[in-house]
Amino acid sequence: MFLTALQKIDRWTRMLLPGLLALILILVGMVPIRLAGLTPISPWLLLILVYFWTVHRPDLLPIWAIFGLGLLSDLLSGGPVGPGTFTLLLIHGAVKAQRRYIIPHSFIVQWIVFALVAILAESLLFLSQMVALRAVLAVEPAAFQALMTIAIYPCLAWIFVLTQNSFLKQA
Amino acid sequence: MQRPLSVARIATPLKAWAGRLAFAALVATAFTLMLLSKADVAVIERTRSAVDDAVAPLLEALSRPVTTVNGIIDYAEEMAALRAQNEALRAENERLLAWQARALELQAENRRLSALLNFVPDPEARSVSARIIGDQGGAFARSLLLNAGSAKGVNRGQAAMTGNGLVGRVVGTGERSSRVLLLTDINSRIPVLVGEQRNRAVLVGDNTPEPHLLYVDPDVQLAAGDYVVTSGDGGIFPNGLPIGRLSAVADGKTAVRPFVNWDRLEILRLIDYGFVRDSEPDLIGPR
Repeated sequence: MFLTALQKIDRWTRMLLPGLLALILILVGMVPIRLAGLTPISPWLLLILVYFWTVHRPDLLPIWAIFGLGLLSDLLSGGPVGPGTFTLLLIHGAVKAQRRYIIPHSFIVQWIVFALVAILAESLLFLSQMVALRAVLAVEPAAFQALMTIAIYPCLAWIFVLTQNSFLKQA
Repeated sequence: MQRPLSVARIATPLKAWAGRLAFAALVATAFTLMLLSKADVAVIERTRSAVDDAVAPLLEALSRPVTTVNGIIDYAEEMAALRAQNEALRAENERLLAWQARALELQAENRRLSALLNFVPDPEARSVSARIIGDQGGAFARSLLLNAGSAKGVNRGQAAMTGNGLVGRVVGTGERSSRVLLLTDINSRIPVLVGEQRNRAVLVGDNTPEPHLLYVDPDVQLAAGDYVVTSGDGGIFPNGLPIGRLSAVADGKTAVRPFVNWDRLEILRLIDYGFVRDSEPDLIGPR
């Protein structure tokens, strides 16, 4: 009896793991780090998370979770609510449809695919932000954010792989 | 044998359809929210403040070690430059003392002349200091999260300052957190006075480090180097808060370089204007 309860908790924790990781990433992404020059634009960590888990374990990151995390992130950004959520949902849909072509490939290929996804996502986000703000925005910050996101992908993906190997193997 | 098979035959596509429908519904919701965002919907703003409040303690705990590390970096840098800095400070101190004497003199004169004219003085400003606990650093919005909210007397519309100049204004408050829209954000509009002629204009953010001016009288001659200060129009900001200097003026295009050092923001002063307080020490200029 006791064991089954524990097992249930165990299963639930596993189920919630990507969501919890996402919450941590959203908060860590907000900590005011004052490294000169790096402050204005930080990478879009949530995009990396959505891509990784959609490719590897879409069952652990359902669309309503992506919707909730996107809204939370949009609200905390202080900007319009919706563009980030909208973009993440569409990217999730697209990646999920193609995941069986991505999974068999090596890490490097997955990274290259991510680079394309990031460019697509950032363009989509850029357009939706302009729709939301009804204003023309400069391209540079968006391009810079895309590059930062692509550059940091291996670090985060490594953490996700470790998490997956140590907690989710038999789930 | 027949039954479960037929159930599966109906259930599987149904499930797929339900999934597709849910996906479409969520995408449509996100899109609708996106279209509504310009309308400043009260529910969204209240939700934002509630979320800010909820994460404020977590962010406060997370940002503390970062503050410590920043402090250590600063300490090391200062140790390295101690001698030169000391000398510079000594020189600056001398200069400031001269300014202080001049300021006291002017203040006395100002008081005499104001009394002569029966001038109605501006209400004195009270201020709340708050630490920055969140900085989204996104490519599309410029705002900061602070660790003081309505419980400490922070209100929407208050000016956020550092010792150098204006940073932005408070756009949302929760119980224990508040959000400051930086003057560089694309949604920022601040009524200002430019140059010695005190020409009226509106400082408009554009998500670049240097915001520009709008509604400048076409007959007015602006020059690079002109001071930009708040005008106090609208009654939310006090008059004369320093913002920056015109860095470029060319065929109708302007750029203002703020005095604020964005890399060094840590604690902001929120100016609560319109609340008279009697215990304020008597000195003009920023405190």
